[in-house]
Amino acid sequence: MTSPVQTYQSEMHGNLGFFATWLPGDPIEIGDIGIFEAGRFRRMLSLKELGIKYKTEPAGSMLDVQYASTKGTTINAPIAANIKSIAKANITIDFSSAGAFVFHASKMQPHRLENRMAVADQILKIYQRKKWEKSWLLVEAIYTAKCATVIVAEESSAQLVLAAKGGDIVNSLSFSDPKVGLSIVSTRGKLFQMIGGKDLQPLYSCLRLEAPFFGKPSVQPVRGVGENASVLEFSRPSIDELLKS
Amino acid sequence: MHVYFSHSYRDVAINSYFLRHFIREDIPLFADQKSAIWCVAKLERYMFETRGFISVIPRRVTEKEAVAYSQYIGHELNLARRARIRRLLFVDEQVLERYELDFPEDAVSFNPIEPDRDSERHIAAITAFRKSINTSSNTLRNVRCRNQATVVVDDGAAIRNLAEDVCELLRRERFEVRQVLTSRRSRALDDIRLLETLWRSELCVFILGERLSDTHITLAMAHSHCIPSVRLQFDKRATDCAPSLTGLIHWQSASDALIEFKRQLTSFRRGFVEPIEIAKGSNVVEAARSVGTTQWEPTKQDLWDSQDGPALLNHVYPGDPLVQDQVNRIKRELRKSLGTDRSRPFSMQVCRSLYDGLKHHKFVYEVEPQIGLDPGIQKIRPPSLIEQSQAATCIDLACLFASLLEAANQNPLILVLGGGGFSHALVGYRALDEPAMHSNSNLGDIRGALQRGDVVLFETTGVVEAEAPVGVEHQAQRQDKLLDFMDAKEAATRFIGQTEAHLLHVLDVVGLRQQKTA
Repeated sequence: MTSPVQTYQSEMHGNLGFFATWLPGDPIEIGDIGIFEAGRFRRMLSLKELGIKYKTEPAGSMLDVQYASTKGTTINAPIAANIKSIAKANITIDFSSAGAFVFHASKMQPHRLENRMAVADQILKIYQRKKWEKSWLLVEAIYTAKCATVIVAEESSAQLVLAAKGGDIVNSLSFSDPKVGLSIVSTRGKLFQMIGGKDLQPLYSCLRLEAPFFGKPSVQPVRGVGENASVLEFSRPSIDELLKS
Repeated sequence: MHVYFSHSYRDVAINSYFLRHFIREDIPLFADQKSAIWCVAKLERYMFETRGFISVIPRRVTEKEAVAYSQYIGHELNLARRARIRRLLFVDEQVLERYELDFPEDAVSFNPIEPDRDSERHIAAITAFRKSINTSSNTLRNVRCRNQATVVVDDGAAIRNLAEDVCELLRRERFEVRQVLTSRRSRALDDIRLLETLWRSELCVFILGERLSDTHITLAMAHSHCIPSVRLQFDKRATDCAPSLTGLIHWQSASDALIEFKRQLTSFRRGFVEPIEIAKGSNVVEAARSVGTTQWEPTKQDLWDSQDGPALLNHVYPGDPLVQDQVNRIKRELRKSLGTDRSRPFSMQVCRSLYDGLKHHKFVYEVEPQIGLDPGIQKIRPPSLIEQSQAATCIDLACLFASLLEAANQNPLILVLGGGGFSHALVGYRALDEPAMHSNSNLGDIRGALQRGDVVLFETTGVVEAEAPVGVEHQAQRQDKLLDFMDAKEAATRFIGQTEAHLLHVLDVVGLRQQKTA
């Protein structure tokens, strides 16, 4: 049976193609090395600790995102015209299935490992010294968010009532706008909630280095290149691998 | 009593406007169904069999000229003038202003943006034309004998051998064949019985030697009377047998010439289509689209079972000559051996150069009709057919780009997407330092890869002219019916981001080839 966290992770992967960190506030960095365990990334060490030099760079443009689960989430906000004049407005979020969620994040920016080929060469050397495990995953991209709100229902009926400064929420109904000043009024049922968290890394992606890299840890010609270069045998773990870990 | 309708297939909107008027005036139009074969003999036959000629001549933007028009329509007009049949020409006002002397004085201008502005003038011209064709007659039509073919043959063993084969092919098509052997001593110009033989023929075939001879003079006579003719010109320097605009087929290999002759004969035999009747059964836009969609017969190799994603690999041809030409062109442009630079900026540069190169060809977007095919089976044009028909569907283009990218040492990706009653193909590449995509990758994987820059996708149909958006691009993004590369890229990313989109197939061309050879 799919757990609430698995539903959240699966749908977020479908939306953005990255893995959702769990818990959403857990820190994660490019260069972290670890494994999937119980549906989360367990950090073991890092490229830095292995003495591997790497660079990161922003990839793509900054964006604000708002996702809700495909089913089981209802957001009730007062009509815009009615809340402009009031100082505080209550917003009710009803969840009718376990795993239903709301994910709002502002100023999301993807970052990625810039010198992947050079890093692979260094990993190859470490592998040859038998200091790299086949099961290890390398975090090579993350999303950072200036502000994020993540709410996940952990049972089939739950409710969260938030209070927002009236006028500021009118235009976007964003739960990740720092100006909105959200506060919790009441909760019902079991919920995970992180309201207005700052400077987070809510999403990540990773690579695994695998056979034939490990089967033949050697330098081989690359297609189209006259001289020898190392073969990059990376693979990407699927969302199923994370969910079933 | 029919009228031949000469028009640019790709300009559906203006064709639809005039079709509406033709329906009102009950003008019985014949049109040539678009095909990949340029057959002048067939057009000459059309001129012979119709009582009038109507042409709609829109503006065409070319590499060199912002105001130009289709040379093929121009040639059809010349044929009509030569056939001396009644004519009615509607010409884009900018084209008419710039090329006034190319057109007879009775040409009528139109504004392509607001054609209705001059609708009264257009209707008056159509009404007058309608009356005039009732009184016209084509005297040559009365002397012509159905199924009579005349083959006029020059001196020389190779030429005479080819003539024998041509005659045999004609006989197999139930033609009664008369062979006329000419030499430099015959007096074709004064031979009235020869001229009458040409008049009586449904089809003439001229097999011309390299030196000017009476065969050439006989062809000139047939040409001036617009007598349906296939022109086979022996030429030691000929590289292929593609017919020129005037219908001249240069050949040096008799077997190649025979293949082209067979194609010409098949095309010659093909009947008219009747756009007015099609419009009555549907609507004018549908009629204009239907006539303008290339008709072609697929081989088994050209068919794809749309349930079988990996089978798309059979339609990726990195070794095709058109593909190789394009890749060699960008090698020269980039002044770099492809494959030595594995960086992401270089992959982008290669992709953009291929895109811009193909854009210059001004191919047109078509929707492939699913007529005569089993459910789920899709026709995919190979590169040579795209070039011949000057048209392609999204999946044709996806396979063509995949071929180009593979030949340029990149890692092409083809995506087939569905959702909301549509299916669409996108193409792109994965970076050379990015692992291969699995065939079971989902849309989330693609979205993530796009965000990280591991994958670049673009709207394939951005390189072909389309009057309306094909994917999710905005109408304003289509400049002169085409998309800039960056707009094509943005449109593909937006397509992938749609909530209703779902991924049917992802084909990682290089990854799949490696799997197959492993």
